[in-house]
Amino acid sequence: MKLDVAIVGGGIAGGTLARQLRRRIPTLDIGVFERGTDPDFKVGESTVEIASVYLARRLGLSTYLYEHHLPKNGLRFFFDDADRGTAIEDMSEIGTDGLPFHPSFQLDRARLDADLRRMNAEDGVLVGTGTRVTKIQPGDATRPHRLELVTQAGTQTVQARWLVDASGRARVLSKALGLPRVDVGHDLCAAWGRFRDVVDIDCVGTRAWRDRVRGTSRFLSTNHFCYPGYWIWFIPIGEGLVSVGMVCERAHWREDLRRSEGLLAFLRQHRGPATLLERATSIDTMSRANVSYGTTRFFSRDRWACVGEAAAFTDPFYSPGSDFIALENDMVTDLVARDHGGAGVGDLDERIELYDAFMRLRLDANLALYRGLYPVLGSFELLSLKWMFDIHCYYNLWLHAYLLEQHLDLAWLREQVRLREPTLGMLDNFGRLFRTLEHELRTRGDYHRGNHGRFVPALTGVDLVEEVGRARARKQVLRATGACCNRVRAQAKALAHGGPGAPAVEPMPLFAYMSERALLD
Amino acid sequence: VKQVEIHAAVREMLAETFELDPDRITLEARLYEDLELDSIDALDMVVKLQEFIHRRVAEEELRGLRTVEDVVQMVRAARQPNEEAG
Repeated sequence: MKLDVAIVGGGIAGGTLARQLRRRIPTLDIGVFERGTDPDFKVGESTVEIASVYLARRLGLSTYLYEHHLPKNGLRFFFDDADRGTAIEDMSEIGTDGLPFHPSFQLDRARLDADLRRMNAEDGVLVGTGTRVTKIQPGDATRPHRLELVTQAGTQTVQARWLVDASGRARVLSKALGLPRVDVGHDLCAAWGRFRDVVDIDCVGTRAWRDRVRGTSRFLSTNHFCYPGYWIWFIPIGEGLVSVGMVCERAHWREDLRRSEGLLAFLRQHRGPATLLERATSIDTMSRANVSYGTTRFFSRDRWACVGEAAAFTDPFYSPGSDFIALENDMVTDLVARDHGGAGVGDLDERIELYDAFMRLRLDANLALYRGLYPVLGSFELLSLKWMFDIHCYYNLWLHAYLLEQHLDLAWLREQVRLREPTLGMLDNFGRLFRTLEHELRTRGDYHRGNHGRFVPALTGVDLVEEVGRARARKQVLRATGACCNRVRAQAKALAHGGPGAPAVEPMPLFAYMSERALLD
Repeated sequence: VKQVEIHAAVREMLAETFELDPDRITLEARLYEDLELDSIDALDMVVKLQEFIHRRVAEEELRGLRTVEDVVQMVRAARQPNEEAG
């Protein structure tokens, strides 16, 4: 059997890629080879703006998403006391009080994976389930890749011009080629499961508490209960089920979290989550160590690519997993389409190298948001400042570029890659700033000081929502970044000062934020 | 390497990066006042400069760059470390 594209893995990454390729080039011969037979519960329900745009617009799934999955009401963060005894309505909160301008969704992953397989098969994609890839003989630009597939019916060999690893953490091709970056300096563990009879968060608390978000549904948010070193999520996935899990630095990990009783007991040690889980029953429990890892390559001139978790995974805190899939799949689709359309080898290779360099930058920039920063999570004052910086960067830099499809534009990509060191330098500087502040607040006994009764709308500080996705000069984008840096630094200095009468803070030029320095001096 | 040659290379780099008339890029020209570079341009200049001299430019060094001649001297020093010492 000869294919244009062979995709190993039929989860969300492989399923969406096959659909996207098929929509772009209806005559393409595509095979998706999935080890499992029936899709089962998978984590990764929460999507954010880039992924939602990808699913709705690029894949034409708007109606489908509204019909079969839940609309999402943004990310939401709650803060507790050191004794973990704060009632939900007394917790400080970062969250929306109105739907974000791009709708996003809470995906029922088992359903999505199954539906994508069905839709792809109906569209003429070869979808093989119960299919194990037992041998890979990588090809290159001139020789096809060869795969040995084993099903119940027997063994067969497939040749493909393009080979895409979408096999999730199995990383079939990635491991065969020695690509994984195991140590990314961020060591997380996680445990989670589906629960039935979880109390609806919109039915607890006082009238005033519900009024605070103008009656919008907190239930539909990705709700984070934040603690120093770990956090707990509540995500609705429809049909009466809620996904609940915890993510922690390894120091907080205990092996009994791998069992449903252990996980439930741990969750119930926190008054807020305990209220929601009062009558809950566990359906299933899963767990994972080594949550975060990277890759040394996403795309190769030898006509292979790694997408989704087959390439890398950073941290679930801001739900970035499907954003990565959106970027990677757009790039793979573009490369395959150009190759199919007869693009010259030189042109294609240049594009492959730039796409790859950009994704490695994107990965490292995303890791920098979390590495060493889990101790910051449990303080409302710290996280609201960090969130203000992070969400501004997300809207101003990443979402904006995605909406304008700049991630497929060579000139824009060259610019990003050229600014790799300054960009990562800036993120590292702010990481250090937040860690320094955390130490300061802890030393003063002020870490939990703001954790009661306060509310910050999620897009506070994103003063450019109306400009995102409209053409803006590059300088405008960078000036907005500089202004955000100055704002966050000024507030950080006030927080470090600790009381009224904080000295005025002189704004600094953007480059000053990008060279290694202590921002609080 | 002669100062004239380095000046020519720096002039070409600045003219290309910031779409400036090369004639304005004299040794005496002040980067921010005469050539009207702003803080974002400074970032781009540093990145270009780093590619030029194959080393990082620290923030304090950037603050010390006021004129085209300052940039030329930095490139010259980077390319001829011995001469600088002498």
